Amino acid sequence: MSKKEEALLQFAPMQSSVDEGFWHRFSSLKLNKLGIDDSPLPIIGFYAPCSHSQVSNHLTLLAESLPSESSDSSLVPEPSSGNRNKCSVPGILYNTNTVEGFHALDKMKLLKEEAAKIWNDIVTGKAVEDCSMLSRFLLISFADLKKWSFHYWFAFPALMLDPPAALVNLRPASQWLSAAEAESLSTACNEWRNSKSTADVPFFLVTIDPQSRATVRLLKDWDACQSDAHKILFGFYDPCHLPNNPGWPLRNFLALISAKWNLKSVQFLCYRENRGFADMGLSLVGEALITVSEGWKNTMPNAVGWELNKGRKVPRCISLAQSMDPTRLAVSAADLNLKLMRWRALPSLNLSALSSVKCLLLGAGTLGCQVARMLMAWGVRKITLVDNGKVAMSNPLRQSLYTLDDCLNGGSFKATAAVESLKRIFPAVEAEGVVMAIPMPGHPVNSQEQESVLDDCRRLSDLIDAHDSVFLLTDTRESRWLPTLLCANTNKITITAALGFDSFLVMRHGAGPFSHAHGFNAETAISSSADVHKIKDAKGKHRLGCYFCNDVVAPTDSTSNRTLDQQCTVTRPGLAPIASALAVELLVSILHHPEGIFAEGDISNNVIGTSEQPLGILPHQIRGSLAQFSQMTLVGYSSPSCTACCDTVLSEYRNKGMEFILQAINHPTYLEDLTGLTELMKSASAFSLDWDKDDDGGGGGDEDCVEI
Amino acid sequence: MDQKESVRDITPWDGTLSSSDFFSAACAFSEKWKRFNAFVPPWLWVPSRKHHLLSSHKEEGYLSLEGMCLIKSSEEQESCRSQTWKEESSISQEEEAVDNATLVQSSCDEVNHYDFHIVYSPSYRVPVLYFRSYHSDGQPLPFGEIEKDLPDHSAKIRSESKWTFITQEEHPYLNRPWYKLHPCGTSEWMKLLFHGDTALNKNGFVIEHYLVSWFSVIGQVVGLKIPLGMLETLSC
Repeated sequence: MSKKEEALLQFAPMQSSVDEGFWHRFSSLKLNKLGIDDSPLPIIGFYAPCSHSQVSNHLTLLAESLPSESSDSSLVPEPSSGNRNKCSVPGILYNTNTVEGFHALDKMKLLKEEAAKIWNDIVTGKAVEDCSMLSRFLLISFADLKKWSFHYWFAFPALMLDPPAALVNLRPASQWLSAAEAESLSTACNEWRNSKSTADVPFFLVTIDPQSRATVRLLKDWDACQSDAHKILFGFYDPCHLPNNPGWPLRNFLALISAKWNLKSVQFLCYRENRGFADMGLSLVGEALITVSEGWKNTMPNAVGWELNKGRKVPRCISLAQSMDPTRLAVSAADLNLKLMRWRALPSLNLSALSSVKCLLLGAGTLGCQVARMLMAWGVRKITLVDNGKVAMSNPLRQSLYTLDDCLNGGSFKATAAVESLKRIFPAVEAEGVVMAIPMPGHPVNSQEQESVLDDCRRLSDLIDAHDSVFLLTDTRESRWLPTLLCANTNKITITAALGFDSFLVMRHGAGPFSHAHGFNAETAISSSADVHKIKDAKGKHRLGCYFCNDVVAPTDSTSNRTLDQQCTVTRPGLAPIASALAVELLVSILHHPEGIFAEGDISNNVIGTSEQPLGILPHQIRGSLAQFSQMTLVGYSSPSCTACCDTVLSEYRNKGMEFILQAINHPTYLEDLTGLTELMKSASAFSLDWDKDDDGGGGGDEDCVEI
Repeated sequence: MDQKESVRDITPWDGTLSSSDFFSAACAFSEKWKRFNAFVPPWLWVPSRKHHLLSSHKEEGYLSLEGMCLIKSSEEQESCRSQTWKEESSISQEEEAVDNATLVQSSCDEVNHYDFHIVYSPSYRVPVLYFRSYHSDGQPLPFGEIEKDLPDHSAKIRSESKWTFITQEEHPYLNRPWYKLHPCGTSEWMKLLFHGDTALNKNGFVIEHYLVSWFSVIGQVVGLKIPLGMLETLSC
């Protein structure tokens, strides 16, 4: 039986496995109970005999490896017992509060301390009573709770025999034992593993009597085993699967056997299972020769045991941001929502177009707040809000991004407060606020203010350039003029929403006069100064109109000479949410239409399912009335005399730039003269018709609402 | 009780299960699985209480199959998985004792571990398959990695059938994100599997075979095979 090839006995290192749940529980414990306390924490590890011929078992940490968080429990984890798949093993955790602290830990000292505990347990006999002490382990870590990453390093202290043990032979148990012995041992082991009192005892003695009967016993029954004719095997749960090497727990077991019982030749059983049953083919029996000197057990032996990380003696790191960072969880939940919409109802939904479109919202009031929220609901992430106002006490009721806190101390700037609010709703939004006034025609500026107004014009122009889609959501007609012009000049998708007392208008502006339809892409509307098509675009189609195309008067000052309550926009509260929602849905429809900004204006015809587009029709204008609870779609074409988008005006702008803008701002009739509206009005008033007697009796002068 | 039975007989079955029916179905399923599947770990019932205030309903819980190992050959390993770690924390050779007794292992195969749970969904009233995967050291696998492990026909099933897709959502008992096969279409195809035969409602036939039928479809998406023996019990 014994071939005297004395190779060195080489042990397969113990491997660690940390379940995600451990880190979750530890983070929670740290945040709620431990705080900055970095004193060592007792923990429990679990392992079981190998049960797979190709995969080793690991020393595992689970959530229950840690003490519970409840305030009345001590910081000691609840020991589990009797679970055959979870043999409990004591360990200790040193967690540092900084990564520098982690690197600075004296690893050799810590290893020595834990090894000393094992040695002490051996010498005093405690390890014989409770053998799981032989597999005591050490864990150092640094939990970065801002990035949800965990640096850690295990050590499985093993006492070194000096000189190291030699291996006489090692072979499967089924080859070492006779058939009868193997069967008896299998049965005995299965009983051992199925009995609650011994299922999780990882070290044991096996005696085989001359009648081939095997008995499995606790270590403390050593004296009872000293019967001559019996064969004795030192058995242990072996997590390792390798056919030619025993697992790590044997190291300290041999140290115990040598120190306690002075044996020189040890026959050991590496107990392994298959599908939950003892397997004598996978289990190994071997013979080790221990040649330590007499005085070896008088001093604490050296110890090794730091776990290698892919062959290197460095710590490991695990990142759990995906499953722990609340922002990431919010993002994936939002994405899931949109994906479900695409999977279940709308396969042509272009989620990447929505997440990449850059939206500029001019106005952060009733309309702006609602539009921003609706955009986020559609998965739009890049939102810029422009508003120069501050949140007033009456605002939170109708402006859904603000609360009372934003009104205090004079009120926060709307643009800033809106962005903060958006981020509180959805942290992954890329929102920016710009506090700026929009220069308006009919509101002349004196020479001191001129430079800053020109600055604002340039800033607005830059903002429009930097975005794909612009929403005009301000509360005056004249404030929409400059943005409309700039958008028409750069061919950006422009959507206007405007409110009356009980009616609303939501419309998309047509393409600019210099637009070029070739290679159009909804996400990158680039204008080129190709042929000047006056009222037709490059496709030969009539351009759809903008907000000003139907006006016969140029935008002028509509705000002065109004009383206070007339200056505030007073509308039925339901209008703003309706109009804002429609404005966003209109944008989404444009983005999904193959012709984008060049799409013709559809009219609803109340016949469901006749539109070719999956999202339905793409109207030009939607006008609604709450008085009638009705809504209609209209089409309006561009006017050659439009003060904002006709080619005359745009050419002037292209030629004279800011000088032209300043003229329009300062001279009330400049735009009308330029576009020929003055001429138009002169010829209109040349008709001598008596209109006066049709005037209404009630309320002459300006009405108390914004003209649509 | 009698009245309930007769109502059940008349109304066509909608493909769903009640919570207590799920428990019965789960017991039947795990018992059959053990009988026909000697080579794979068993499905274990894990009792769990979700609502601590309500009286403990001992039939509340889920079926669990853990520790399925998928061994990846070395060529398939993602070498970028290990982070490049600064040498600040390494232990120099002089510090630790020279140890010849430790086996130095050449690159060993990476193993992907899979855990599967069958959890009842009260809102859809059907079972849902939750699963997760992790490397031997505990690091969870991202979905891109899991997809490589799924059988080829899984991608086909998922892209063709609008009823079968994988999402990541919070596990109802463990409060951590797991992957799951979305249950929105389950009742529809369960109805088809049983041919909408209302007579089957009698003597609990549906309940006993529900999970076996369900699993014969779902299992394909994640590569879990159901042995023929189990399927044959359906026809008796």
